[in-house]
Amino acid sequence: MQLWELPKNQSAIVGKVSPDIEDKLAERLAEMGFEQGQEVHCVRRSPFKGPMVISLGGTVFALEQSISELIYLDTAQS
Amino acid sequence: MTVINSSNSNILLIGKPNSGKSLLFNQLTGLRQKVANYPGVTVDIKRGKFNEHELIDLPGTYSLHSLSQDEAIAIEHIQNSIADNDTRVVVCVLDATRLERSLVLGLQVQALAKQHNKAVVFALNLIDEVRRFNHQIDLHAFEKELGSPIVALSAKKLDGLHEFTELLKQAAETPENYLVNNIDSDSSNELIRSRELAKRFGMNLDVVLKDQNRIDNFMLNSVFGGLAFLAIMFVLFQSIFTLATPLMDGVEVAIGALGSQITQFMGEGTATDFVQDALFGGVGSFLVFVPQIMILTLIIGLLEDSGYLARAALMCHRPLSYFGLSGRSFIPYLSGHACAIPAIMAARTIESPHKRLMTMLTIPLMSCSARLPVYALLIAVLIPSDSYWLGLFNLQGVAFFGLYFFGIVMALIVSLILNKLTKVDLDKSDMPFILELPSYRLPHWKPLFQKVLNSAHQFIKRAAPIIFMVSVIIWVLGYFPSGASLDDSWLGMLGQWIEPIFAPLGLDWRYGVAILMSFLAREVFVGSLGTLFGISDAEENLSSLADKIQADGLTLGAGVGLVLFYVVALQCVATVATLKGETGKAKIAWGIFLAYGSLAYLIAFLANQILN
Ligand SMILES: Nc1nc2c(ncn2[C@@H]2O[C@H](COP(=O)(O)OP(=O)(O)OP(=O)(O)O)[C@@H](O)[C@H]2O)c(=O)[nH]1
Ligand SMILES: [Mg+2]
Repeated sequence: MQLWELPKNQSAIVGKVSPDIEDKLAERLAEMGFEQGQEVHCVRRSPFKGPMVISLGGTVFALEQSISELIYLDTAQS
Repeated sequence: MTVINSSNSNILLIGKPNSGKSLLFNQLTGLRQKVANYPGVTVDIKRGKFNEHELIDLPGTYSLHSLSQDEAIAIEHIQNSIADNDTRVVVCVLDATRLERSLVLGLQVQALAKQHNKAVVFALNLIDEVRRFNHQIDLHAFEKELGSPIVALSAKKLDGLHEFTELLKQAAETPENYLVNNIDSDSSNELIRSRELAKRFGMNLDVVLKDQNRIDNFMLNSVFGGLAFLAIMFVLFQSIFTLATPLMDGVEVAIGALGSQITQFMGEGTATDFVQDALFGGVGSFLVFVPQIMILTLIIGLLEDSGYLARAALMCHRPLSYFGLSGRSFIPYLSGHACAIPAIMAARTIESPHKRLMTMLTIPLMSCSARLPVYALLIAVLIPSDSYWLGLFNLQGVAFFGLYFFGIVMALIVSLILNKLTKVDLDKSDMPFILELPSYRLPHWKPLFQKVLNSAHQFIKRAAPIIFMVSVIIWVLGYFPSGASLDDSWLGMLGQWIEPIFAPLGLDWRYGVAILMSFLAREVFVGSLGTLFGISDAEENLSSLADKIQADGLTLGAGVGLVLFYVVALQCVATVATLKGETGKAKIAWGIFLAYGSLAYLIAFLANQILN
């Protein structure tokens, strides 16, 4: 499952990132907290496929579709 | 081990975005760099004095590994500053409410500083927010784990600031005693270490986020959030008019009274004419607009400090993407309503180089505060002050809003067209849109108040000398030869030459002179017209400039055309210079100058044709 598919008010565990993501970007995502095993919570969904709002490691981020589609969730644990 | 050079004296402030570096910088240096509650406020290096040392405030970043080219410039600068021989102490500023995120960068910086044998101290900022939730941090243990001294402080409430100042003095005095001495400096596990440290020393974040989410449930709601956004924008632009009007009337009355006192005292003569026309007509008619600038700054300042702007950027991301812009374009656009120059600089935080360029090129269409006097004057001429729309909104206020709106719509259209023309392949150097949403906070009153006063000061300081000079020149050229009417004056003779350019817009040479002069600074328009109408006004009464223009008879079409000309035209040399600096291309800057000038002329021409 992709992060983008996470419905509002639901939590999940971050899994791998897509191999399509460049290494540098993947590293940055990790530095921002998108690391395997971390819990992520969807705070809001915007209308018209606008950015989603998630909280992760005590920080709230807005993420657009193109990037959150490339972050996978660990379905086994969620 | 290299010996620390004793001539070095720089102290660096480094930390993640929105961790309070600039506020701390201001407290330590007594300067007033911009502080606001959203990530990416500081985009340039700022320097100030701390004791005999130089304190350097750097742009915030999440990591020392850069992604995009734009980011690389900023990050390389941070890396080079740490390595620099002149650097004596590196201060890692941590946000105590977001410990894990700030430690990732903090530990990277510490490791790099260790490599270069630099002294490191940690500032655990925003401690007031943590204490509000009764969370205690064991600083002794924390310090031991970090291998560098750490002081908890609040740059806002000033707790711990004294202790930190002492530590910083000590470290700058004897940096060799403050070198990093942690056992483990394996850079690959900074992520793991910051998580562990945050778990051990940080607070339970759910409580903080609960507050924030409650407000966001409303502010980001699909229906109410959108309405709230529109309402906030409407109030912003409306209050520039409604709140400022009584204040402006007050200033106008005061200037008028002063003028008649002085001229009565001076008696009749050329000197009196000069004081009346050039000083009170020129400079005075522009001072009236200072309250509007202050109110604009106040409201933008309130929004900046509240934490709302990041939410507005998020909500705008989708609609702005349609025009080839980013949600991050929103904040530069908004601050462009005060002044285009810092706004163009602020566009550095936009994730994609192409979207950044589009934003920079269209920022000049935002109605900056230099245009306020022109709008206010022409609206007062064209629309009676007591007419209401739907019996509720003052029509002058609505017209004000309309002009701002027109500028924004033009910016979106221009951006859309430029995007269609320049077929860019949205390459990989684009960062995706990821934006941290800061906690909501009550505005910090003292700096806000200073910001407002400063805006008035800057406005006067920047424009008043130019307006004064132009007014004097215009007055001299327009007054002599002595006894001649304005049309037969030296200026009148020059005016005949340029009249053909402005005739298609329905404007006579006096407006032509004022428009040309306002390429020095837009506000000059009002001052120049003030002087010109002062000279030609035979009765020498000190009635307002708007009344004089009205009595002189400016047609509706020409008036509307003129005000729309001012929305679109890029009459600001400093903006062109900034565009040149930020894009690196003089061609782009002057190209956009010519393009907006031609477009403005065309629009004014059409308005004059259609409405008359
Ligand atoms: N409550 C509280 N607020 C603070 C403190 N320090 C800073 N702030 C607020 O935090 C926000 C960010 O402060 P800045 O100084 O602009 O942050 P910065 O680190 O310079 O941010 P960038 O320039 O974007 O990297 C502002 O709204 C400040 O008023 C503090 O100690 N306590
Ligand atoms: Mg800053």
